[in-house]
Amino acid sequence: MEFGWTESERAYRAALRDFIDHEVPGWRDTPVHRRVVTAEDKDRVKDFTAKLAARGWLTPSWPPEYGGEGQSAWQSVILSEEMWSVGEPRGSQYMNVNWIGPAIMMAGTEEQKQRFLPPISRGEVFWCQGFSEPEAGSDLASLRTRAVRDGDQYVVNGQKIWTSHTPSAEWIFLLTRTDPDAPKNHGITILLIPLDTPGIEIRRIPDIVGEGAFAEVFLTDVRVPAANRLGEENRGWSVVRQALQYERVGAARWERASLVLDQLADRARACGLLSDPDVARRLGEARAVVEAARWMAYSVVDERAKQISGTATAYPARVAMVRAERLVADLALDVFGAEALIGESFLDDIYRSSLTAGVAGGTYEIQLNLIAGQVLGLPRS
Amino acid sequence: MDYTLTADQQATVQAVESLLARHAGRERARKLRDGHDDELLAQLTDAGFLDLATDPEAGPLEAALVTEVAARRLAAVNVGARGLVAPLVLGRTPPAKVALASTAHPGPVRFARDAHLVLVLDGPDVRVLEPPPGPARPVPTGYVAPYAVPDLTGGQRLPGAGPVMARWWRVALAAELAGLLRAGLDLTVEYLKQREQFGRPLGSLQALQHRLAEAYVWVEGIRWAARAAAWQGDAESAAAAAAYATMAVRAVAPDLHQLSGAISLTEEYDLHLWTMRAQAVRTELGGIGEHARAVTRLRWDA
Repeated sequence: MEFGWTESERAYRAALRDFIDHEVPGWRDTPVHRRVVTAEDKDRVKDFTAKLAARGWLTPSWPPEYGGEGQSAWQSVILSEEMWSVGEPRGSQYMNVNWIGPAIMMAGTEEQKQRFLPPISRGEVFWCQGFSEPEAGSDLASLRTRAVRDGDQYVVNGQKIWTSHTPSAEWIFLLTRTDPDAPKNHGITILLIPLDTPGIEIRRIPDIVGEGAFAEVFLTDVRVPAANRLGEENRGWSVVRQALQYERVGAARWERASLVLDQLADRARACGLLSDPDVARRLGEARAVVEAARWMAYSVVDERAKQISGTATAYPARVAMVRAERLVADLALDVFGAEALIGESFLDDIYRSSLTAGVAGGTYEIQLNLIAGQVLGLPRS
Repeated sequence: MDYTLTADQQATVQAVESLLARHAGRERARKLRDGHDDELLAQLTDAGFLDLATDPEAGPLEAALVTEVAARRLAAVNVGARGLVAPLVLGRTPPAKVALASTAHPGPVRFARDAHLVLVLDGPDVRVLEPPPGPARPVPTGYVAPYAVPDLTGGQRLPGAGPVMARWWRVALAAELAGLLRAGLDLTVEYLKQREQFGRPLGSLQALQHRLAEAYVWVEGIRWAARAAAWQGDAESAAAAAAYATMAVRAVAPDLHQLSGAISLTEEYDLHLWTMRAQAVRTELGGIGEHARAVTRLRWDA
């Protein structure tokens, strides 16, 4: 048992930081989280991911046969930490790397792998995730967007919601229902669809998190070649479940929370508040909770590094992270007061971006249910 | 990073577990109430479990693991002070019975009665009271641990040793709380699985499940924060672990009683053996506020 980084892990982090400081200059002065890549800054992101790809740092966690280096889980988490702490300059491409690519490796045909993986590993393509629906949120498997086979095509009708990253996305990883009579997990099929396919309409949902955080995607008689089906018909659920195993603590939110706290402490010092016992106590409590969340997230990474799967370690780690983000957000408002309300400012960003913590990627309460059932072995409610 | 115990660590934990299964536990704790377990102390000492911190083959992490297990098994011995804090402050093997005190936080001191050695945190320094100048005055307490008010005057001064003592004290108390709260939670989960009301187990009610799950998250966090701090050995990690662990007591201990109902307020039911001790440990070194402010001081040089 040990809790330190190796020499090569430290060197890797240092090299990444150098690279980021060079490519994303000035971020340390205003580390506002770039929530969503707009159509306008897509080129900037592509430029960054192409350079990352050239350094071998876009898909290093992938196996060598798909252009990766089979990077260790610990190096992957270092990469994630460094990216997330600067506001995720890879935009939605982090999803490509973390689970969309791996899902294609796992379930795709040879032709699909040749077609979809190289653009991802070159940093050229933007995906979004078509999962949630108005009637399928936490109960995702009850999704209803219908795909009906018609010759060598599927015809898709339905609606997705809370879809992030649509402004930059070119492709959607869409979950559809192909067998409405089967038990709900057994009738789901994955389709990979270009977003400019006729019949797809995207409406942005005005939100309080940050401009363009999520959208609705309407699909009306969208015709998709059967060649774009990932995995077998009606077997999509198991692919998604496996692929998302790696995404459960995908975003290194603890690293950003830690960085934000450092910034808050600097600001507190600048206005003479750091010596205030109440402020000092709250900063210290928040840091303690953030660091505990980090150690719990690392317990998930440790299992990943040892290829231990099917455990429930990620659920408490996620709950801990939500608590940490909320404590940090409270500090911004309580300590800095109305200054934190100024739109687009660093302080404003903290509270508003924390709002998604307990919802995105599976709600806080679902994690509690899973802990109660799978970890504590409590009887079904 | 590696979250798996090494074979040696595994063997140590198993050995101390089996010793504690024989010589500690609920029955023993109930019998001793606020007494000290001389017999167990002798067993732990003879087996070498209290000499791991300065053992070149082991270290502070191993000592913290023993502290965690001992707390879970309700050892009425100051395992953290004797096995982790004192050897690292003194750089030598301390006498059998050790207590830790702080001039900034006066009041009753755990395990001070009959202590052979009291380490006093005195600002930047440590004073070594070996033996203490006079008898400690026993204090009645319902917190299931021996308390007394010692005479803290005099002693040999170790200039500049204060931060070292504070650091390992924090690691020790975090490790102890990891064990105490874990055992309290385990007991509560088992109780709610079998306690039926309205024709079904209370543990099947989602409102209660969520609170147990919340408690689990706190407890799991202490475990890793304490172990990481023991391994890293730096002041900031130690303060963070202690702050988190004491916050966890505040959040979890009352909930465990609340979820178990009136039975948990009786001496007959064992929950209090862990939770009351946890509350006692929570008060050490100034508690949550002092640990949290220490984090801020150390992290941001405030």
